This record gives sequence, C-alpha cells and structure tokens, in this order.
Amino acid sequence: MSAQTLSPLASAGTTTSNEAADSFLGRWGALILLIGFLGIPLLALLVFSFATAWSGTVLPSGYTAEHWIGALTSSDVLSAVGRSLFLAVAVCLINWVLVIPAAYVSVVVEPRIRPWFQALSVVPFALPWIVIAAGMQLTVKEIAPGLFGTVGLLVLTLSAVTFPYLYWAVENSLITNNAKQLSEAARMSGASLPRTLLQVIVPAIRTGVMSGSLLTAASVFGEFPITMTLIGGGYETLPLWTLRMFSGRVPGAGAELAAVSFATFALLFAVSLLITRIDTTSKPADPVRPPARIS
Amino acid sequence: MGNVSLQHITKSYGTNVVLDDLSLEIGDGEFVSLLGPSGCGKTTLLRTIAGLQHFDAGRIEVDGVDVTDLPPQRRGIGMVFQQYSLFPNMTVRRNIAFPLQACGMKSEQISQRVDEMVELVGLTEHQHKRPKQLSGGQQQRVALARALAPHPRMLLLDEPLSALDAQVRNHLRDQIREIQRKVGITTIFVTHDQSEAFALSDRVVLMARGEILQAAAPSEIYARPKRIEAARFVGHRSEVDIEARNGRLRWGKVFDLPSTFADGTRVTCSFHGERVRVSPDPHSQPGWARATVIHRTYLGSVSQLRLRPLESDTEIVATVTGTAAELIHDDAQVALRVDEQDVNVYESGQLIAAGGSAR
Amino acid sequence: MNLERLGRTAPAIPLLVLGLVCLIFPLLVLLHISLQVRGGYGLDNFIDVFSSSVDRAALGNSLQFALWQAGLCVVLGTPIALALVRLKGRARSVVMSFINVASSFGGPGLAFAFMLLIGTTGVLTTIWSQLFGQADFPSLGSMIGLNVIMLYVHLPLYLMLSLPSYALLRNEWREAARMSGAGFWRFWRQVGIPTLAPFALGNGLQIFMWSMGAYAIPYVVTTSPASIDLISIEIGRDLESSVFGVERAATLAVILMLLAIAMMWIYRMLQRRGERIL
Repeated sequence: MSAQTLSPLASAGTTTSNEAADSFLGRWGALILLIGFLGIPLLALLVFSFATAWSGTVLPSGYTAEHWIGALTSSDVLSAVGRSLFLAVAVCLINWVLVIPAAYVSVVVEPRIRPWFQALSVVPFALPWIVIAAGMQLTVKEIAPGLFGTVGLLVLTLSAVTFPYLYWAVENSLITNNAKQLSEAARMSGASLPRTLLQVIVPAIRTGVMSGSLLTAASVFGEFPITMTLIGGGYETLPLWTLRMFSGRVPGAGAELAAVSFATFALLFAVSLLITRIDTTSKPADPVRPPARIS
Repeated sequence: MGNVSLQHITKSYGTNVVLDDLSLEIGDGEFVSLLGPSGCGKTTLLRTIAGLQHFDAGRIEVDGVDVTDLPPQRRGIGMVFQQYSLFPNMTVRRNIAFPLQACGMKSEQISQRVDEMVELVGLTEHQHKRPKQLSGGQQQRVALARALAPHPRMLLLDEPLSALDAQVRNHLRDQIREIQRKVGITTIFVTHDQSEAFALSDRVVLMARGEILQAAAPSEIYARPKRIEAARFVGHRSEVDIEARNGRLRWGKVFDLPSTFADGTRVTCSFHGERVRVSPDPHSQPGWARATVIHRTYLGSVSQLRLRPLESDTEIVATVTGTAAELIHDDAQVALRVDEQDVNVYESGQLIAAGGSAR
Repeated sequence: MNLERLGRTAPAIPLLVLGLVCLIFPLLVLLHISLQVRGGYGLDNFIDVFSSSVDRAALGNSLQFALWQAGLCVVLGTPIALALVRLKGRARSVVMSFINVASSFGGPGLAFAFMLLIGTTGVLTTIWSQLFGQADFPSLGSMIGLNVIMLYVHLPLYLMLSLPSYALLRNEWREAARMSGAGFWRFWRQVGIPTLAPFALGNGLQIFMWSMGAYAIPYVVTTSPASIDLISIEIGRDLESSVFGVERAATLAVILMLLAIAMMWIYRMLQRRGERIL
C-alpha cells in the first residue's frame, strides 16, 4: 500500500464506512426474511382461526369469533391445559427440591461432585428424547409394569430430562453471585446451614431459579415424545390434544387448533419478553446451554 | 509526506458535543500526543482521522489531499488499538503479512518485508506463535509491526500501553519512540497519562470536553499552560487566589510579583511544587514566609509536603528531594518562598503572565 | 473425615439418583435388550436392522434430513446471526423472544400452519396456481416438505446457539483489518470465517443431532404413504405396537444413542479447537 494509491476520487459513496454489510438491505434484509418466514405461518393460523371456511381460496369466505370462544370454553381444551399446567408445576417443584441443593453442593461445598452433574446434564441435551422415552418404557415394563402409564412416572421422567435447565441456571447464578463467599460470611456470622440457605443463598439466586424454572415449565408444557410414549392418549396434555385435533376428522377442529396454537405462541412470547426483563444477570455467552425444545 | 491538516472538525451526539470545531496541523515526521482525561474526545478525534468515525462538519487533509470521504482502507494509515488488535487465527508473521497481501504485494517481497518488521520490533524468536501465546507487550509490538509494514504515511496509536503492566509499559514506550525515530513516520498517540505523552512527543495536544486547550512542546505546556485546567492536569501545581494591590500581586512573604492588572482584580496564581523553596530552618531565611507542615508524604526519591503559610488559610504542595525532606516532619515550621519567575498568573482561566512577565 | 464429607454432599444425592435411575439406567437397559439374541448376547439384532431395506431407508432418510437441516442452518443462519449481533436494545429483545418461542413451537400446531400454507388447499398453493397454473408443492411429509417445516424450529435454535460465539468476534479485528487495507470479503475470508468455523460447525452438529431425534412434527406429517420414514418415528411405532418386538425398538434406539455419543465427542473436539484460538 504505497502513497500512490491515495486518490480522492477512488472511494465509493459519501460516507467513510460504506460497505455492503452496512447498507440497509444488507443489515435488515436477512432479518426481514427471517421475521417473514417465522411470521407468515403464525398469520395463517390467526386468520384461519377467525375464518368460517377457508379452503382453496386466497382469503377466507367469512369471519367469525366462534372458534375462539369454542376453544377457550371447550372442556377438552381446558382439561388439556390443566394437565399440562399440572405437569409443569409438579416438575418444577420436584426440580426445585432436587436441583437447588445439588447445585449448592456442587458449587459451594464439594466441587468434586460437579463433573458428575455436568455429565448427567449432557444426557437429555445430546440424546433425542424419544430414545430416553424408549429406554424408560422398556425398563419400566420389565421391572415395574404397574408404573407404566401412570402420571407419577411421567412426572419423574420429565423432571429428569428437564433438570439441566434449572441446574445450569442455578449453577450460573451461584457463581456470579459469589455464593461461596456469601456462605462463608454467613457462617462466620454464626448462621446454621439451613438458615444460610434460606435467608442468604436462595434470595440471591432468585432470578436464576426463576429463569431456569420458566425454561423448564415451557419445555414440559410442549413436550411430546415422552408423554406420548409413557402415557399416550390416556392423559391428554395440550400437545396430545393438538395431535388429536390434527389427525381427527372433527369438524371445526382445525380452527380450534389454529386458535389454541396461536394463543400458545402469543402467551409464550409474552412470557419470554418478561424473562428478558427479569433475567439480566445470566450470561448470554453460554454456548453449551440449549434452549427449551419440544421435538 | 505525512502532513495532516484537521480543519474545524465537529461531532455531536444529540446535545453532547464531542468534538468542538477542532483545527490542528501536524507536520511530517512529527510525534504528536493527544492528551486528556476520559471523555475529552481524544479517541474520537483519532478515529476520525483513521476514518472509523463519522463527523458532522469539517475537513481532513493528508498531504494536501482531502480524505474526508475516503474509507479507512484507502487512507494509507497504520493503526494500533488498545487491545485485541491481532487476528487470533494467524501467527505473528501472517498478521504482519496481512496488509501486504491486501495491497497485492508479491509473496517473496512480503516475506522479506515481514522479516524486516519482525526484526524491527525484536520478535524474531516468536514469529511463528499465535497471539494467544504472546504476552500483552509482545502482542502490541506485533500490532505495531503490522501497522508499519505497508509503509503507511501515518501511524495512529489508541492508548496502546494502557492495558499493560507498568514495567512493560515503560519499556514498550521507549521502544515505540525509538522505532518512530528510526522510521521517521508521522505519529499520533492518544493517552490519558501525562508522563507518557511528555516522554514520547514532539508536541502535546491537550484536550478537554471536545476542545483543544493547548498544542505545544511538552516543556512549553509544563512551564506555561495556557489555561488553568491545563495547568491542573499537568504536574503538581498549587493555586492561590490573589487580589492585585498597589500594582503588585503579593502573597505574604511567599511571593511578590509586579502586576499588570488594575488594583482590585482577582487572579489565580499557579506554581509547580518543585519550584517551592523550602528551608527546614525558618531562622536561616528571615525574608521568607513561615509555614506549618500539615502532612509529609514520603515517596522515596521525593517527598510531598502539604504546607499552610501562617498568614493564610490556603494549603499548597511543595515537592522536595529525599535528603532535605528527611529533616522535615509533620507539624514542623518551615520557611517558604516562591521566586517570581516561577509563578503563572491566570485571569478567568487564561494565562496572562508567566514568570513575572506578561504573555 | 470421609463420612463427614459424605454427609455434606448428601443434599446432592437425590438428584444424582434421579439422573441415574431415569437417564442412565434406561439407556443401559436399551443396550442390554438390543444385544439379546436367542441363547445369550449377540449382534444379530443390529445385523437384522442393517439388512432390512426398510430400516436402512429410514436410517438413510434420517441422516439425509439431518444433514440438510444442519447445512441449511449454517448457510442461512450465519448471515442472519451476523445481522442479529448488530441489533441492540428493544428491537433485539423482541426479535430474540420471537426466535426463542419459535424454536419451541414445533408441534402439530406448526404442522397445521404449514398445511394451511402449502398443503393441497393451502393459501400459497392457491396463489401459485392462480399465477402460474397447477401447483405441485411437495407434500408436508416428503423430504422437502419436512425440511421446510423443521427449519422453522431449527433455524431459530441455530441462531440462539450462534449468537454467543459471534459476540466473541471483536470489533477491533474488523477495524484493524480495515486499517490494513482489507475490505469486507477479505476480512471474512481470512479472519472472520476461520475464527468462527469451529463454532459454526459445532452448532451445525447440534442441529444435526436434534434433527435425528425430531419427533412431534414428523409424527403427524409422515402418516401418508407419500412421506418418508424417519428412524425416530420407527422407534415410536415399535413401542406403540408390538409387531416387531421390543428388540427392534431397542436396537434402533441404541443406534441413535451411539450416533449421539459420536456427535458429542466431535462437538467437544470442535469446541476445544475454537477455544485454542480464542
């Protein structure tokens, strides 16, 4: 690069940092395409849920709110939502009781145990959940056939596969909040272990617990393979209800399905926005941590 | 080669004026430091010259050519950042070769030039290592070599030493100056450290709140800072407000200057700590002022004394060398004097008289 | 001394037990069953699976599908992730929430939405046929159809995985490259891509693995004869009916398991590669 290359007319554009990537199309084009791809199916659901009939035409022939009313008052829907909620809450409770002490021990008390949990956390993350479901079904049928098809088994299995969400969140929170130093300070001040936990540690990791729990709940709420395999139609959660609506030939099922699906998305979206408000302490730069997934 | 002309550069973010109508001329081969506290605009100005920062109004000329609209890669400027300058996936050699490849040099020439640069910065044994394997100081030396490799017309350095340990910093600082002298390239150096700026530069550009307070040789800025805030930034100075009376500016027996002001004008008198003459034995200097030592801070080679003259409430700082200071303890009484040529007089923040003579 | 230590780790034991019982033990059982042959242990089940053309086809489909998904995500996701990294503030949280939810939206609802769009009587199908004549969009359960639908779930996942590593790209490198005379493409070719490659590949690998285990959506769309079979669905079918016996299900599951372990190992290697540089 010598002096001779300097020429006032040799540049492009009027701004000094004008490059392909900075131009409007470059910066926003990709995002617009993404939002479009993600948004259009949602739009289809929304429109269909308000349609009287829509088949083979560009727009529906008429609009009505009856599908929404029907969906929101249908006992099937409400029971399905109820069951999913129950599962989510039960799994969260079990995970709180099991994970929080375990994470505390891992970080503060006995770090040597940490690799065990790190290894365990990888299992639901690396393996397809249908494999875990298969294992569980075959195991239970061999060893304790009475347990197969029970809600208890489902709750236990779901707790096992979703524990990493809470574990990672709590572990992270314990580390960034200096739980070890906090514990030592509490103990030096004469507090017993239970008191330390309840009054010092748990308040400090509150946001971590919340965000981990929300991830867990969302995951359970939409879980399919394990529920299908271990219980199936006998305990119709929301995903199982959507399955029935999709494959069944019930008239109006499609529109109700569309309404419920759209509502679910909207609700999760609102909750997610809430999480980003609350959870300002968690590190976004954690490449190993997977997002909640259903399939 | 390497003349830079900044004309009326202005940049604001909303109501916040970051660069306020700045103009500056830099000559070929000059080493200029932009010195100032955080937020004064020195880095913004540097990045403006580099082409990495837009500005609202003004012009930049290099060797008489208007480069205002030229993108950074066409300006022929080498730049060293505070940290993370080096490409992590490349060895030292490849890092240095990068700009040479970008302008299409032949590979034998590139190799030769890289050899030269590696030797210039003294990293021959490390030339095949990756940045992660190098220390902070070594990384910055590679960054310097990379910046200089393509024979740029100008070298810009954005606080390159700030992220380094103190000892490494001084060593690298001297190396930078040595290399710059050898190569003879126009250099603009940004720092908040006054001693760094003074050690390296032909001229120091003192900045505050987006404007240039003073651009002059280090000795000039040290002896005669044009504005009171420049004075405060450079070295340990004491200030005392004096009212002109009977054509003189007098502070008890501490100092007595002729005054060019109307009687009754209030001015600020400023002088360096090391210019304060202190005698541990007040009786040996009957014509001098008497002061109480409020506190002595022992720093090894020098000591700083906080003194309060008996007839005043104002405290001043005197810097004395080790042996003399050892005799002086807290609460002691000393004799104190400042010669009139060591006092600068400021009115409304501007330097009016220095060393007993009007500006 | 040791007893005290054990006592202190006691609160962690229940979780450990849950993990061992519900996660590890069932996998061992699967392994055990898959190796069961008449008269003891053997690899007959695996041989049966690999010699059955139906099973080979399912495995092949799954691999092909997963490869497509991974490839599409890396190619499409990278420029989008780059654009996302620059986004700040409000816009960013909204887009991120949107992506987050989209990644967990993979159930019959989504399949239905795509049916509304590109099914035989779908909106886009109708528009297309009105503009260009008869439309023959691939069915939802075909390789192409499935790829399109699952991209809805996997692309957002890929983006969420990618963003932390893209944040590792320092602005200084970009600026240093510009000062050194390099433009957009040269920087990406020589610095950007080589630095990000291990992470992009690792994330692509994760998408590959998730695609191998895709269940809910294939479950509902691969019921028609025109659709492809996937190994994950085969496992589910075997568990529901008992036509083939549990050995086949277990064998297929173990094959997936081994694949997952291999992927995990490669992923770790890639991570370490990336960390060596950064």
